[in-house]
Amino acid sequence: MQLNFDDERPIFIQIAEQIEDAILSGAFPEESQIPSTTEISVSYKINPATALKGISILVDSGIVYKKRGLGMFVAEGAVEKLRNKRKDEFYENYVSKLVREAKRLNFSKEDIISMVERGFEE
Amino acid sequence: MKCLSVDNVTKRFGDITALSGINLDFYENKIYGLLGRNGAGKSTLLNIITGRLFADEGSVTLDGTPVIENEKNLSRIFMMSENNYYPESMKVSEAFGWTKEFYPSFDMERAYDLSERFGLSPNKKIKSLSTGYSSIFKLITALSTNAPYILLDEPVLGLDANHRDLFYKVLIEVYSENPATFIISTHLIEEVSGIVEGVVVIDAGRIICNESRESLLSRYCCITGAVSAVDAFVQDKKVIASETLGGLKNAYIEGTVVKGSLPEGLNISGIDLQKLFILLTNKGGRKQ
Amino acid sequence: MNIKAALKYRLYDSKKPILIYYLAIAGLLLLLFTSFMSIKISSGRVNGMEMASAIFLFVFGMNSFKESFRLFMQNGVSRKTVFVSQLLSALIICATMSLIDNIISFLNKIIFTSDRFSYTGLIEQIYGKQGSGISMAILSFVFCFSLNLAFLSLGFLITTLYYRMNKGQKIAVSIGVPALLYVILPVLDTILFKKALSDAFGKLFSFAFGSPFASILSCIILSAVFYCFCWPLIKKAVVRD
Repeated sequence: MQLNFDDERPIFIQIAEQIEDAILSGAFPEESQIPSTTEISVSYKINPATALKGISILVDSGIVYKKRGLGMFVAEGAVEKLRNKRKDEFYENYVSKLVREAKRLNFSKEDIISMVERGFEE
Repeated sequence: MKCLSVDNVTKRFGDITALSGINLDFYENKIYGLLGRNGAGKSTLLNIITGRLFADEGSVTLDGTPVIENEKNLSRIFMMSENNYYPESMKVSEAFGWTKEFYPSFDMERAYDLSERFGLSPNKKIKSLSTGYSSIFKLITALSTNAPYILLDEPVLGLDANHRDLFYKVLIEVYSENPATFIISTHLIEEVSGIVEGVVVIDAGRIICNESRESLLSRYCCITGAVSAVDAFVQDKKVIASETLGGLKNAYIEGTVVKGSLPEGLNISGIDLQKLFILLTNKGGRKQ
Repeated sequence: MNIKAALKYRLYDSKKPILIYYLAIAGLLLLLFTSFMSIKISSGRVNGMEMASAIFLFVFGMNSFKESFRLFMQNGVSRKTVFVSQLLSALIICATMSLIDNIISFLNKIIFTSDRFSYTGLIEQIYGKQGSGISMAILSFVFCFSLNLAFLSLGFLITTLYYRMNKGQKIAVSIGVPALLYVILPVLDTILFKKALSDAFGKLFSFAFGSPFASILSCIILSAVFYCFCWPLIKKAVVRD
């Protein structure tokens, strides 16, 4: 895991995204504990307040929850929730661009679908 | 007010004005980076805060009462200096012991634990330590005092990459366990940029920047693209510096740019703290 | 308040040099004693070893500012505490050493009691016998204490003065003061004042130190004056590298 200090996105957002990635990849399964604020801030060498802010985003969106006295845990259904969220982002980041470019180059819908099918077969 | 305040401090050495009209507030339990080039006045400022030097004008207060010659306040501040102020023959372990006499909250267990982690032998005489280990000794002392205000002047001087890495981790551990206000004066901005919450930039004896790292960095960005496109885009914006590489141009601007509003072919990126520091303190890019 | 810790440090810091000093004194006395026993010297006198302590304390005073000041500044000690702890430690050290010296003196009198060899304490050496028994012991103690304090405080004043001076001032004082004392004043005294200056000084000296009581009073006053000069010097002292 790596933080990018000259990324235009603030560090706390990057922290939140990296934990999301870890949940999606199965590194932190549902109902398992995620690292504490201190552990995160020590290993990334960032201010604990920044780490806390990153985790708060996940708490607010229901991805993780706090067990009193124990720490932060991945919520049930978090993977599903994240996948839906990422689906929207995927559409925004990739599909809409793809379609825009395809229209510009006069590719038909069928052309694109067959290309996508080819991509999956390879 | 709960903070360490520097009010209108001016300090002259002969004809040279080392600090002029400094106003700063350091709040409880925050980590500050005090950044400045060599000779900018960082050490002078820290020495005035701790009463080791006298200001020509202005004052330093802690929660509203003066710091100078006030032991109640002085004992709430610990400063690790760049220089070594321990007697010739004193051993590391003795220095820990005496620090505990003056700072009763000094955590002896932590001091010995950290000594072991850094490989510092407590039986060594302080004067026999190398530059790196001298810094390590002073760091361990400072991090063990549990004083509410800890000032670190060039804390990683002479430390190798591994020890620097360990120091930053230990700093965060100690801070998480016993929150305190840390003021870290350093040249190695990149390394502390994630750690500091507040950024104070001092240049030629004046404060040119004093705000949270996040809000500071969010006010600046870098636009990259073809020279003509970049020039057209930044026309009405406040450009603090720019550089060209062949037909490509980077323009560093003050102000926020909405990503969607960016024309095709232009890219936006953030500016890291070190880069921003260089831009702000370079002669050309200095804000007057 | 840090005064307790500061005083503790000062006393701890003085232990070693004082111990070394007394070891040297013990060695010296042993040497004298053995040579007195073995070598056939016809006669001898051992006098006022207390003066050695006063001179030691002068040097000790000269070494008791810079190092401790820096350590104290590092540890959030106020300048007032720097001064007060020095004064308190000086009183304790001078009293302790005066006590030790008088005990040594007492022992010496027991050891060196042949007709060939004798021992005399400092006060007796200067002023002759002053009463006897307890009153003499107390007087000797107070006399040595005040002498110690005057020497220590002079040493301390010189070192704080030097700490506050820049290089040029240090050189000027280092050359100027001896030149004034050994060249200018004697020359003026001989040529201009026809020895009136040295006469006046001699009279002043015999007035101030003419009796044990006058000496004690003069030493205490001098110590107080030296400390009065020290305080403003310390009050504005800064940490220099």
